[in-house]
Amino acid sequence: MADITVENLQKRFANFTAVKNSNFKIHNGEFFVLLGPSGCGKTTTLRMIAGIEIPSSGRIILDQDDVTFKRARERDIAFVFQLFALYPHMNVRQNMAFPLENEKFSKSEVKRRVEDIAKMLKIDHLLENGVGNLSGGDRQRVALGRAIVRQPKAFLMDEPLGTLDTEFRELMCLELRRLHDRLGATTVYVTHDQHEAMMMADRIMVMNQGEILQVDTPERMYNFPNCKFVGTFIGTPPMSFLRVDSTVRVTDKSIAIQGVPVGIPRTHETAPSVLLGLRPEHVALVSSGGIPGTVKAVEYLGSHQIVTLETAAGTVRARVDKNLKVRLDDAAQALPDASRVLLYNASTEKLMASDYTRLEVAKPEATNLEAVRGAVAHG
Amino acid sequence: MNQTTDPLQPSSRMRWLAGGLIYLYAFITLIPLVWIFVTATRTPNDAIAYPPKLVTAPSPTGFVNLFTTRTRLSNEDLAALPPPATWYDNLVRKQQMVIAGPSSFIGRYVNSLIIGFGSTLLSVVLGTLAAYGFSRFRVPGKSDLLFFILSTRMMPPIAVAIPIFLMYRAVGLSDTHLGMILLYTVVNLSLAVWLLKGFMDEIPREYEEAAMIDGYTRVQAFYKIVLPQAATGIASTAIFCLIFSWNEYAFASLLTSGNAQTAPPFIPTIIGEGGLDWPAMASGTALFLLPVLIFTVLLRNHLLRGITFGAIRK
Repeated sequence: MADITVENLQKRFANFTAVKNSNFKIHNGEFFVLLGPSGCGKTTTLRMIAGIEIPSSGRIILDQDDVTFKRARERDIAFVFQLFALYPHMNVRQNMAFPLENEKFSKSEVKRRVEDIAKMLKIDHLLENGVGNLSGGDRQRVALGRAIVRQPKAFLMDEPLGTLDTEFRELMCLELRRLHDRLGATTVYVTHDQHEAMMMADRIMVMNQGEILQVDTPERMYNFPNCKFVGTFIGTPPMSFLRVDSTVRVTDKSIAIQGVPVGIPRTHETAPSVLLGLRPEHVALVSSGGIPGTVKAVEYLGSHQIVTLETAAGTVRARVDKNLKVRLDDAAQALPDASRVLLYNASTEKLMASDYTRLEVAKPEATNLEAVRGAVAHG
Repeated sequence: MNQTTDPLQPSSRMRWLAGGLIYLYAFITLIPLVWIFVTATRTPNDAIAYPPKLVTAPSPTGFVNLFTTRTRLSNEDLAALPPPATWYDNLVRKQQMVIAGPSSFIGRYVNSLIIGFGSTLLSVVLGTLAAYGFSRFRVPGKSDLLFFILSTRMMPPIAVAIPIFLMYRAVGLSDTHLGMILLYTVVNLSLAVWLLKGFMDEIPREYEEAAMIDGYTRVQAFYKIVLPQAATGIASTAIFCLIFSWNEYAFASLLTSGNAQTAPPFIPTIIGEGGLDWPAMASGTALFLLPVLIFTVLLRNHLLRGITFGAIRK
């Protein structure tokens, strides 16, 4: 059970910086997901927390203990590798007992612990099997078992579901989350799959090119991506962005796109040109009064359809009723929900504060609340 | 005819052809070996009979001659001797000779064992450690070093025989076990490092990382995780090293004469009275072949790759 605090963490390889000046805090018992495209530095970050990669600079504090330069084996953490790394010359039981063998446990204690965990993970019938011909899911469970058996302070997992097929992956996601809730230990989980992240995480940290873009709950991450990249990365289909090259001022209630006025929440910032960030469910197809465009794609998804419109300001996707008849190359108009429009500064691609974002920011998170209370007490 | 054939399997005609080729190849390569074992069990006269005999009565004469030195006596002197005490005395008498003493074959054979297995062990130990280092760590000038190691094999080792001969004489390593072990290790090491590095590279680092996170030191991880998985590579490397140092002739005949002489330069010196003693030489060769044969058979399971690999990938 432990907090993990990362301060100014950097990792440079010969001519490239994998992780740039990272700062974040993982709370005790949290399921924390590092999310990002491949090469974004998430795995490097995780490996530094594990101690199998040494940072170029910065500090890592695990449970009030500065472990930055401590060896992996002195950190009391467990790691689940992407390809599980089950030792091929040992059977399931030996694999699971391996982390205990170096510690001062009696033979019977090791046996008891391994069997308890195996029972919990429903792999107790496989204990004497070799690991070579286990199914993907069982291999996954053995790897988890090997991690759990030592009761470490934190679990670090590097895309452990990456090799499983989609259907099974969702099942394992639920299983993992249940396991986490049962054990209550801090879990840091790396993935490039936003579905996995959204399904399991308490909080998600999105990284790109070595930088942290946003640390938030899945809900806030989806509703208020703080930059264009996060909006595109989170959500299927991704957020649409329409570019408007006219100045947006604090008092503006609407913005003209192709001469069509589109309502926006009252913004708190001014920008010379903006991007309108729109989730598909906040865009309606209308016959008049919307942004004109042409239908370029229709994806029928059973419960609804996603229609892609090509407009002069950019591509926009709308989530529409499954019974609506839409054909390719039809003319159509897109109408954003004025209260749900997000504005991004077109040059920095960062989210601009508005009445809408403020409204939601005011909903305090546990940590924010503490900060607010602290401020009140001191004020 | 409605026979369905599996397009992925070779047809029965191809199977017969492939099987036939393998047997033909085995037949050709095995003839010299069979001839050696047959000659070893013949009498000297049968061995040089013309026209050659295909089948002869087996005789231990070759082995007796291999293990003894003998003196030829005149018929009168032989007749004056007491009757032969043992079966091998008798066998030697029939060749009109008496046993003068044991030959030095056993000593040479033991030398071969010490030097062959000693240098194999040393090559494999050093090679495994070096290969692991090259495979896992950032070594400055790694590719240059590896090329340098390989370059020691780019000329025939015997090309440096004279310098080594002079060097060994100067430092007193000539005709010593240690000298020969070191020499063969030097020759084998480049092969060992390169072969083993290939095997080490194939062992995913995650295994050691997992062990190191699970409370083990790197040395323990190496010992408990890497070594068992490198067993295949180590076994095949050991076989290659042993075959070289066991069979090596040129350096052995140049650098050893008495104390540390190995079997290869010794066997051709077994010359019988009145011509080459083929059965003695053949029995020496047959005995000489045995250790490599046994060693290879013992390690052959490790040579079947794929037993220890494949658990990390799907």
